Amino acid sequence: MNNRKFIYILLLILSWELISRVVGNDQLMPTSLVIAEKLWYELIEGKLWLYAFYSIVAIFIGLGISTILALSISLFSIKYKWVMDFFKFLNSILHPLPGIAILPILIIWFGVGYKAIFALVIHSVLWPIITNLFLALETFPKTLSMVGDNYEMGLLRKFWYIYFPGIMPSFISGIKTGWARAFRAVISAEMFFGVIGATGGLGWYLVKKRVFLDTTGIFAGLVVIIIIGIILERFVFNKLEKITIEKWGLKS
Amino acid sequence: MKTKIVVLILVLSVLLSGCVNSEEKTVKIAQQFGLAYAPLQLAKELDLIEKHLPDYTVEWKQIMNTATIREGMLSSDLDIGFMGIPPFLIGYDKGMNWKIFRGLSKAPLGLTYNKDKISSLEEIDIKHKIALPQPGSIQHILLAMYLERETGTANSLDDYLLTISHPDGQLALLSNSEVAAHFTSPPYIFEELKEDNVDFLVDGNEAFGGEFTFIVGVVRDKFNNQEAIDGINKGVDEAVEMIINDPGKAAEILAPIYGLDEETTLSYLTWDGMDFNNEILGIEKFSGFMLRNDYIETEILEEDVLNEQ
Repeated sequence: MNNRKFIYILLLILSWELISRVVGNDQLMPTSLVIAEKLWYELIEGKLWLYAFYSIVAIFIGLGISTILALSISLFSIKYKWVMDFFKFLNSILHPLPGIAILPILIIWFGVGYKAIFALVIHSVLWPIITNLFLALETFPKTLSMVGDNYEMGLLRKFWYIYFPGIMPSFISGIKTGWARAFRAVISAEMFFGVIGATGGLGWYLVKKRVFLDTTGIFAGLVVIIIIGIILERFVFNKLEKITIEKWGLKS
Repeated sequence: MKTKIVVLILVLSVLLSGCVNSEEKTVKIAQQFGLAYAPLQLAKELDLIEKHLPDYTVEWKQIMNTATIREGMLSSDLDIGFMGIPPFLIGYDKGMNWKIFRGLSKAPLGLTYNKDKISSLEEIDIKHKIALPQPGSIQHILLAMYLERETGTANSLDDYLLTISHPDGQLALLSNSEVAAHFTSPPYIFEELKEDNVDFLVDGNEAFGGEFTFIVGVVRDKFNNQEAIDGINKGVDEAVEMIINDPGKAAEILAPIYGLDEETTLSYLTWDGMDFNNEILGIEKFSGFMLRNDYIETEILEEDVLNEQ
């Protein structure tokens, strides 16, 4: 993190502190010190990290399933033109549907447990990844795929050695969008139908704090959500880019 | 540059105009959906409160759950709200300045169960869920009170709770899901009990150990306007009288709002245990239980929270 970002964060905390002191009501806007104290307490005593863990596990399982699905669909799209056409059509219908809007249907079909959450995450993640992958496949240089033909590669080998590195930048940006949408979807779903398993996720944590009018606790949860977002963006996705597209010289 | 400044001033003036207190007298009332709020719905449809408060603008807001009403009252966006006693006590305990000014209804709440899934509460295990609207709701507290009496631990089933809205909970109970029991209120409970495989596991009064008021009217301290409260009381009382003396007519007005036919609405309004009046019962029993089980931190007495006339 560069120095400028530190200054921004400091400025943000300072102005928050100032405004919250003027407001002077912890139920409306707790001061940053109160939030920090609460965050510490919730992490140690309240097992906030366990809630965060539950949400992240749910997201990553869903993300993994969607990635495999999206990649297989792309693989078949290379071989059969109609597969791409069909999924493009499905994409145009289903992509605009917000996850939270189809949640009531998912509950009827899958119940209120993990199955519904996974279905929701897959819906939120699959379409952005597919959109990105298709875009990359369509603009994929024909000469490159002909190189594969020249070597008499099978579909799988061609996909792995030629297409996959080529579509990697789009794939990673698709996963990034997908991750952000999955995170939102999971938290809304947890807020919508509460606990899954003996401990719920971050959404459930927020609901619990909300129904007991614990505003400071809500802010503690929000801080955790922000931190998870930053960590994933900076350390996971940037790392993924470094070991793939940057190493392969694909990042301009 | 000049136009930019003009635009900025215009935008600011629009934003700030909301902060200036208008002279006009308004009262903002929040209600939720459900049979227990029938007198409010009736008063709204027939403009009964407007009749007793001719100088006021009455704004009705239909809100999905108690937490939202509480937040609206905290941000001064709502003056009057109707809710169960436990959520009121939680807010009071957390420092909200508000008082109960009337009771509205008693209702046959209860824990229903799907006989195909379980035959008693002991059978609830990791495969099952008990659905209820939200933690801290009257349904949750009643279940905890029952468990405290029966098992000695109020939160013995907390791991199996699932918060979900009443209609979704009903759906989940009846469908092939892990929801085996549902703590709910009318009209959802009536519809569930119509099914052959659904029955009461515990009813509300049994859980509470006596009679209690389901919905009370709450007013923000800052609203502090006895004239308006009196007007609201008169309007709501009139609606209550109508439900008691002429339930047929009340059902006729309410049926389209609830999306039910008149006959069903009438049967629900006059269901055994549906009781509309301004009594306030059960505050200290609720607060004593909630204090004992750490749902609230301070002792709350009835005289603390009643809005003296």
